[in-house]
Amino acid sequence: MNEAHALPPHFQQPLLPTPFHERARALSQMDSFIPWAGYSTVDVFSTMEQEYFAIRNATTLFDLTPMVKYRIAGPDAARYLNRLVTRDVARLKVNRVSYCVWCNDDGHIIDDGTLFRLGEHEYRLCTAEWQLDWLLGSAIGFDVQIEEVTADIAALAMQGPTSCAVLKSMGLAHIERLRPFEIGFYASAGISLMVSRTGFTGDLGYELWVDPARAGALWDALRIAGRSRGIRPIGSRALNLARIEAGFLSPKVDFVSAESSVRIGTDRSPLELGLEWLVDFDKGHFTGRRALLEQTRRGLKRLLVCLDID
Amino acid sequence: MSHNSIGRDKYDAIIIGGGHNGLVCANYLAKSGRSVLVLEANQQLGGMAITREFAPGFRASAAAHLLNQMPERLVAELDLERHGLRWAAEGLPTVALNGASPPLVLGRGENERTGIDHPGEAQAFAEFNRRMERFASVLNPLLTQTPPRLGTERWTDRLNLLKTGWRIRRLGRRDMRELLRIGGMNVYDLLNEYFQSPLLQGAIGLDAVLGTNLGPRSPGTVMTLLYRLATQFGTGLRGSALPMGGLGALTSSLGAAARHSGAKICTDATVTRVLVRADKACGVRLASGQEVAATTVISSADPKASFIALVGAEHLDAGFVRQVSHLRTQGSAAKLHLALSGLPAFTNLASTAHGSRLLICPSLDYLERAYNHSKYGEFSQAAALEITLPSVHDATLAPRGQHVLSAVVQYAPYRLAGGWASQRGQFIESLIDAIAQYAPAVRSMVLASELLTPEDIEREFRVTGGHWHHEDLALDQFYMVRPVPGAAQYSTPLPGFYLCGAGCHPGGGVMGLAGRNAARQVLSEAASP
Amino acid sequence: MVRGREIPDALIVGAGHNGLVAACYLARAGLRVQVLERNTYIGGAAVSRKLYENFTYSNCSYVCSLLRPEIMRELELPRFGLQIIPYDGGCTMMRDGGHLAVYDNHDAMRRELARHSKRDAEAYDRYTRDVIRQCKFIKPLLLREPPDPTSFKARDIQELLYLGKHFHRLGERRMYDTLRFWTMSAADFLDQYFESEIIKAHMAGSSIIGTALGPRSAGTAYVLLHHYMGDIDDTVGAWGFARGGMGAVTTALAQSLQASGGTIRTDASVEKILVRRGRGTGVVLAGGEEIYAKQILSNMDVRRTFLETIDSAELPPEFVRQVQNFKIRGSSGKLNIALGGLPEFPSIPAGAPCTRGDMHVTDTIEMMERAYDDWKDGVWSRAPYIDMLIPTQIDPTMAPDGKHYMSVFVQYCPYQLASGPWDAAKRKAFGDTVIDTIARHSPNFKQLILHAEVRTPLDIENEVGLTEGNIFQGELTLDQLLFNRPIPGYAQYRTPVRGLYLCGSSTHPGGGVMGAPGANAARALLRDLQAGGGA
Repeated sequence: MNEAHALPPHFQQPLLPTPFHERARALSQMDSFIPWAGYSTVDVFSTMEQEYFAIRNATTLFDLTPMVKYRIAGPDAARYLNRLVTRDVARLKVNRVSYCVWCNDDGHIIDDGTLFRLGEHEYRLCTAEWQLDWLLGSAIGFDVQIEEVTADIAALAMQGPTSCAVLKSMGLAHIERLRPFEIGFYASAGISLMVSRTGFTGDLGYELWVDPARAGALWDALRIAGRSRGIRPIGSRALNLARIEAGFLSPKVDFVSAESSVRIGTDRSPLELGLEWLVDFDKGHFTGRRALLEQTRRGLKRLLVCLDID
Repeated sequence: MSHNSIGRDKYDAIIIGGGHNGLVCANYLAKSGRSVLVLEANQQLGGMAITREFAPGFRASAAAHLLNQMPERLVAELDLERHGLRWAAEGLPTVALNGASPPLVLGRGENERTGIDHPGEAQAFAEFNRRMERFASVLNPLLTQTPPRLGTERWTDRLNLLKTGWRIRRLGRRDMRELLRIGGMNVYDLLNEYFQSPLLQGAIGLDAVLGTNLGPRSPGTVMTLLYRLATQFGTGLRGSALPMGGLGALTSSLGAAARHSGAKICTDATVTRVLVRADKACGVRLASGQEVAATTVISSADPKASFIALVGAEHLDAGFVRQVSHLRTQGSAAKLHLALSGLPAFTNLASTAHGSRLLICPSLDYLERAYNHSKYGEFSQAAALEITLPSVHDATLAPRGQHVLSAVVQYAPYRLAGGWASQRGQFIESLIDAIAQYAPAVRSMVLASELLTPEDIEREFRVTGGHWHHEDLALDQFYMVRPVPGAAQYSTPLPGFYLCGAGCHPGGGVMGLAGRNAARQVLSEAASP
Repeated sequence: MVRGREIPDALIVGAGHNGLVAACYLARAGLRVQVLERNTYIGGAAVSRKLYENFTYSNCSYVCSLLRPEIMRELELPRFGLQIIPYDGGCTMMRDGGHLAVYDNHDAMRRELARHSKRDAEAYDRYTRDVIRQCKFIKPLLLREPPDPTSFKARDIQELLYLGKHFHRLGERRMYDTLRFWTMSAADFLDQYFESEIIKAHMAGSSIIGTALGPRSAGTAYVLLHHYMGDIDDTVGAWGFARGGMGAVTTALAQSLQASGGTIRTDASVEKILVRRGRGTGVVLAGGEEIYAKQILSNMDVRRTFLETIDSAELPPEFVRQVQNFKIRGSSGKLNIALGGLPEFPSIPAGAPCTRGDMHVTDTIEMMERAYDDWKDGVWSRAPYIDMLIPTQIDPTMAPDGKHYMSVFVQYCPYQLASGPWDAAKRKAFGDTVIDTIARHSPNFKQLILHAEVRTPLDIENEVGLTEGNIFQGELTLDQLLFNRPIPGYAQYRTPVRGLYLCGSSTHPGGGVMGAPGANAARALLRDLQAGGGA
């Protein structure tokens, strides 16, 4: 990327801008940026409340580019992934997405992420934190290639009840037919993009994946198409609020990754976090399975529960 | 024998690999009434403990050439002498060659030692031996036990730890402190505390590093010395012995004993996969495609091969596999075999002493310099050697009047910079030169030679890295963490799958205890599900 | 002054940082304390000296991180003038013109590592996690007296139980990790994380500093950690400069001591420690003056204390033999260089802050190991490992305006050369080896040199009194740690001579400008006094 070439060196500016950075900066009233996985991203554009209400009432744009993306491909990719995560992903069909978590040998959760099956032997794993060390460590004995492709793909989360209508008005044919956790490929105004019906808000929403060179154009097209439907960019704070409401977990907040915990006794298992629906003991072996079975046998000592406060 | 004669379709136990540990394990299981099948990939039974013809009419033990670590008790329990084991020689003295000066002779008894010429050194040596033997006697019982697990609620683990602690404590305050001090030390410093004679230091130092990837200055080499002494402690009066017919005769007798107890042994039967069903090992698949079922599968292969190639990473946790993959499995010892037209004279060595264990290791500095090379993927310019001339005791190994020279060579790296193919001849020449310095006639007597580098050992015996002990004997790969936590008690994370090879406690050397301990573990776990 | 008339409660032999820390704690407990220093200046190996014009050299120890925060606080060192200035970064310059920098900022560090290996950039987090885990395990042990595992005394059993519990609390997996960590070589330890040679080489540096072992020797993983034990709650191994040089540490300690009524006498070389009926009664100074005291603490190393200042007839022969066997090897040299300006390092990008930290030129573990092989053969490393810093970039008080002071620590340099005794020519040749090594990475370096002080292990021994010039007062190997340090059975600061304590780095937890041995020794002595009149 030519743009990146002009950036100050990392020892002067450790965080990278995303392809949406200039546009986001122009709209950011609060000038409030936070670091996320090596990128600088917006925390709040105007007020968290307005941004939150847009998620629930209109449609929103959230810069998802820093989400760490891994391309996992090769003849053993499916076997590899099924041994990695606790859920049965062997049955995940091409162009479908699955939310999953993975554990260390002790059955303690390392991270969660969304797994995209893009082809017979090709997947994409999106996570909030870097996982290459664990992913490559897990690859011993498998014929699989794993590479980080975060910088190669720009991503936007588009969440809110009017998001489908906005996409439709942009000319994404039959977008309304896209089912939850399904992937579709579209073109609009000369931009080809991949859309998945996924998100972290519990509301109707999509995630848009695009070539970084076309990211700015996509942003502009969405803003124009969404003008009449209240589209607005949001920062992480509003998204976080929606995430908590939806009951989704976040590493470093709801649990400490077992791969980075230093203090003894801070690790959590998916069972303790109430994620037993993501654990399939019948699918064959996966990392942490024997420890989780043992935990089931002994009974849980703690459980994370969701509290509704009026 | 080939695998179409496998017999039944299901066994109580299948043992992968017919080396001495696999066979020992098979013996104990068969004696307890289990149906046992041993599958050996090579044509010849015995793993690395075989006798091979390396030149027409000349035979040598492929890897280890002396039997000095197998407990007398094990030989008796399995009645190996009844199954064909004969001794060509027992209680061989060690002779440290000294060129122009008389050699150092270290027999088993105090009055069988000559050549210790520094004042007071004979006494220091006796004192050193007494102390080391005391330590070895404390450590010896650990060899026959399954290492305890830490942090469990199981009373057997705790009791084992307490017992070990108690035995160390019983040494008395002075010796206990000494053991705790020297346990992590290097043998170079220890021997300098006791002795001045470079030759004596070199002779003991070689024992500490033989078959390992360590030099005498490497911390932890006192432990490897104590370990060796502890293993030799149980051999009784036999000491360093030569089985009639080479080490292959030992594994033949183990095979015969196992068959006698009802075990089935198939050679030329390569296992390609351990079969797993419902998270339990349930049999094996052979290269032929044939599958054989079993309640228990026990592997005497090295841990990397056992877990990653045979079981497969998909049946194991990722962290566990990562630890297995980090095992240091690159061998650094080579084996040299020379077919000689006669018996070479060694300078200053009585002709009656030719049958001894002959060492070329004039000093610890010599040994350390030899080690330096192996750190950088080079072979030693001046190697240290443990030499035997087994045909002196055993006429079956060479044509009449001719002889076999067999030498363990420290150090030869697994990965030689530039590759072994182009430098093998050069290394052999340098080794013959090293021997010729002590036995000038040898060069003209060489009829044929063979060098087994770690790379050859890997290929021929299917040992990852060609390591004699399957993986380094070092403090961080010892006892409770050997080969890796989670598999240090012979059982493994995969139910029904066990290890019984040199990669487990108490390690390699032709000792057989890993096989014996594993068999006991299999039986005890079957008894208490 | 307590000369002659009033017998001090405690006499401390040596005004190094540990001697002064011990003195401070004793004085604060109300004892009359006198410190004796043989040099005309205090500080031992933590000194700032003006040896050339207006330059200040930290001419032995040169950076600070290990000083225990508890000691800083309790002895109020900041109030007495100590200021630690942390530095950001460090680097290794490579033979091929590349470099690896280290930055405090996690994101900058990640991107820097990723230039060499994307995988290692992520493995670095696992690496720091494991190092922190081990630090957390060891940290509480630093300020505790190691128990004697052979003893049946209630206190020892209690401490052993504490150790056992502390260990058990880790849980099974971390217990094995810890066992393995303590017995591993730095090279093997790093191999578990990294694939890039340059990254491993940079990280391995601290595993050999001050140690007569190579990075492939088992036990060096611990030495690596020993250097990381600085303020770990914030960042792993945060390092800093003492403003005004390392002498600022001991100057602040001296002022803290004087504020609590203790006295220091310089130019007072203790030739002999007097022992009567198994009890230390005082010392004899060079010149014959005798000073008596109720208790004596020796900040000298264990060899110097027992083999050179005490009549061996007063000691159990077995003990003497063990002291003789205590390994305390000279393996490090030091250059202090006055520079007319800041040297250029072309491999470092302009503006990168990493030249303000520790700079290195050893780019593979093999190079480091070969440097060690030279030492084994009794020659200084032909391609030595160097740890060089230019503190004047951050602390301009140490050199005239626009000029700079460079501290160059060198590993390995033998105490005894195979070619015979050290002399001026050999010292110069050693210095030239180091200067040439640096000059290969800095074209204008040689022209900038105004003055260079070259210190061999022998020089360090002669000046500071450290046997063989060993900076840790004894190798940090497994056989000389915890209850083995310095001598099994005498790891609790007490000695076979009643009333004589060791308080230097020869004792647990060892060297570095940490102060823990001094604090622990003082505590042991005070406990003995409480228990009734001293040991």
